[in-house]
Amino acid sequence: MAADVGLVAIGAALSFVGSAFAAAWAQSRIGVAAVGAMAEKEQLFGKGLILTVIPETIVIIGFVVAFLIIGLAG
Amino acid sequence: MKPEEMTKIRIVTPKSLGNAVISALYNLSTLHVKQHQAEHNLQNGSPLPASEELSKTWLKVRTLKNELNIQNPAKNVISTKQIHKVTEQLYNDIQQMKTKEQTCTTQLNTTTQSHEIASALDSMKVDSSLIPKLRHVSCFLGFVRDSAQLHGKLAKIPHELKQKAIDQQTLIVLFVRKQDELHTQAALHELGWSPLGTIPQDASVLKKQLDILKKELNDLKSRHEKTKRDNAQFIADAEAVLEAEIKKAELPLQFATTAQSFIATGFVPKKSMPELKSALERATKKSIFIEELHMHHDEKVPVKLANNKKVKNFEVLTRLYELPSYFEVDPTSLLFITFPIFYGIMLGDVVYGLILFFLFMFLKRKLPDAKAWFNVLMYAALMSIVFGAVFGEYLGFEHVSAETGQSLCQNIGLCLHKEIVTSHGESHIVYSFPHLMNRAHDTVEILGTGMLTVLVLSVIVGAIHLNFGLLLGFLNVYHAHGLKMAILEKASWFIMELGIVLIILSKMNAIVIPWLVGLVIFLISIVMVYLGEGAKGIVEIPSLFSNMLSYMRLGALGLASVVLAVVVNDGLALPLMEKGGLFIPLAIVIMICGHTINIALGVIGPFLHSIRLHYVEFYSKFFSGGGTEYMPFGKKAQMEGE
Repeated sequence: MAADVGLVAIGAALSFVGSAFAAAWAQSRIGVAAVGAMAEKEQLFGKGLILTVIPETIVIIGFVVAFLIIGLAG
Repeated sequence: MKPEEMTKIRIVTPKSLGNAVISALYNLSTLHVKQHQAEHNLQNGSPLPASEELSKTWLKVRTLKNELNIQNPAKNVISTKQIHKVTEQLYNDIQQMKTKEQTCTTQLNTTTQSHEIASALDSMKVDSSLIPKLRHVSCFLGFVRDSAQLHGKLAKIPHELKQKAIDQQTLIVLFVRKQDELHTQAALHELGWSPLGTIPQDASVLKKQLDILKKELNDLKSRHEKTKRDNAQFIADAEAVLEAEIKKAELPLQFATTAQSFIATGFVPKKSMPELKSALERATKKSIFIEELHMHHDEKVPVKLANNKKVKNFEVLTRLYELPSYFEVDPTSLLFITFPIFYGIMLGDVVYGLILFFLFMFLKRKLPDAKAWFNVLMYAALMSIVFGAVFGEYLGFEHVSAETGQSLCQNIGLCLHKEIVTSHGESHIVYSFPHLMNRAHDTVEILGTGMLTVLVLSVIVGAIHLNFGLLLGFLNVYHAHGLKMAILEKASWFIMELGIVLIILSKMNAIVIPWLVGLVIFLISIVMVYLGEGAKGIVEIPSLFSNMLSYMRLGALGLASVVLAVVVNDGLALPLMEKGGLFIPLAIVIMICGHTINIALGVIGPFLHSIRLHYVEFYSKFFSGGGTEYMPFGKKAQMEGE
């Protein structure tokens, strides 16, 4: 039983970790480009911010899946 | 909800009255002038004749300002005639002073050098006045770079040498026989020889000259200072007046012209229109033609946001993204309502909220330039206090231990709700703070799965927020392109949601309508989206759901903040506190550090995520942006710009 709980926890953690890394990787690349663009034209802050935060949805979905794994496993 | 209403006008005036009209417009500061694009029959105007002289004087004033290093702010208005006259005089004076100063400095440098040499010769006991009188002996007076090898090079030549180091060179006085002159010259040449051009005068004479030059230079410096003191305000005032006058003189560049008249086009706030009309008529004795023009929907009308004082603070958030276009809804008042609420839901702690509120209040005093930002953050901190009370969270504590709860009730009369909580298989009695909802523990059953209530509520908040955005989008499109496009582009998304809800409800057996009905409605809505927005709309369909899920961050971020606070309190500080003794100060340090970090995260995280939910999810439903700022030509605009 304890092993099952552990596996569920690992599953949930993997879902979260994977999506967090994916979001971080995507954000790092977009962030660099956005800051570069901002250095050229300061008014692009709003647009740059939006492009940078778009991949955050990945981590939110990972978070939801982690919750579902814990919930469905009871 | 809408930017201030503008009127597009065209002003036609004879060229002879150009000056009067421009001055009147400048004093009114209400007309946003539209740049005329030159065509075959209507060319752009040229600057007023005064502009060249004004620019010349302005350049001189700027030179003076830099040379005298003047920082005074402008205070008074001076006539341009006086400015031209005084500036010319002052400029010439300063230039003369500068030339004199330069000559003086050069003289001072050469004299100082000569004095040094003369003093060195004195100290070597060489009477320089006798040198030209020598007959049988040659004298070499000058500098060598490499003095170490001097004796070696001169070993074969009978000589008399005196030397003294000056700066990084060595001054030498070398006497040799007449017949050795050539050999000596060759030897010295290898040592970097540079002979002294003239034999310096007597040191005492040079000393006197030096004193005179120093005094002269000091006099010049004090005259310079005095000129600066006397004219600083004049120069600052002159610069401001000239800048304004040049702006006026160059305004016709934005006008269209015919042989005899100027034609200016621009935008005026509707409410300032009567004032503008009467002022221009007064200035030109009614020799002016003002016409109101029709505005097209694709026109770049300047935007002046019109919000009341409280909402105005939130314009910084609107501007950070983009100004709305003139024809659409200004989202500032919506940001005023939802931004602090989202921030509050995410941070949601009474004590954190209080700390941040006072911190922002303090920073607002310290940094008055960022006042609007801190006002926004203070509203957000207030909402954190409100939601902290809703969630019953105080510095991350949801409850206090049985002992503390009992002593609070007995000593202060603050009786909290008694509860039994189970953690790690053990039950404890605790006294929890009053709350409507517990963020970390309350769950609801959804499709047989226990989900945290706060996450479910977040998605519901998201659904409401997004649908409100769609409604605004509907209104925007309706005003810009009519009802049909509004239904196809925006109402289609409502229909899609209806279809999906029907499918889900009938699958759950909650309604009697068969699920196929829902499917048909869903498919119809897809066709409508395609007709309204094209392929882009179809691609966007999944985003409707991902956008709603994205609002889960409202709950998720809050949970992260709670968990961090609980770790600091229950995981680290309290176990140390229970050990007593020296561990108590350590526990306090841990609590201060931990909560400081959590508060810092609590400023950055909720701020960015709240603003992101608006910019990305909410704005995409209605906002197109691209507005240009309303910048009226005139006095007030210039002062605000400064």
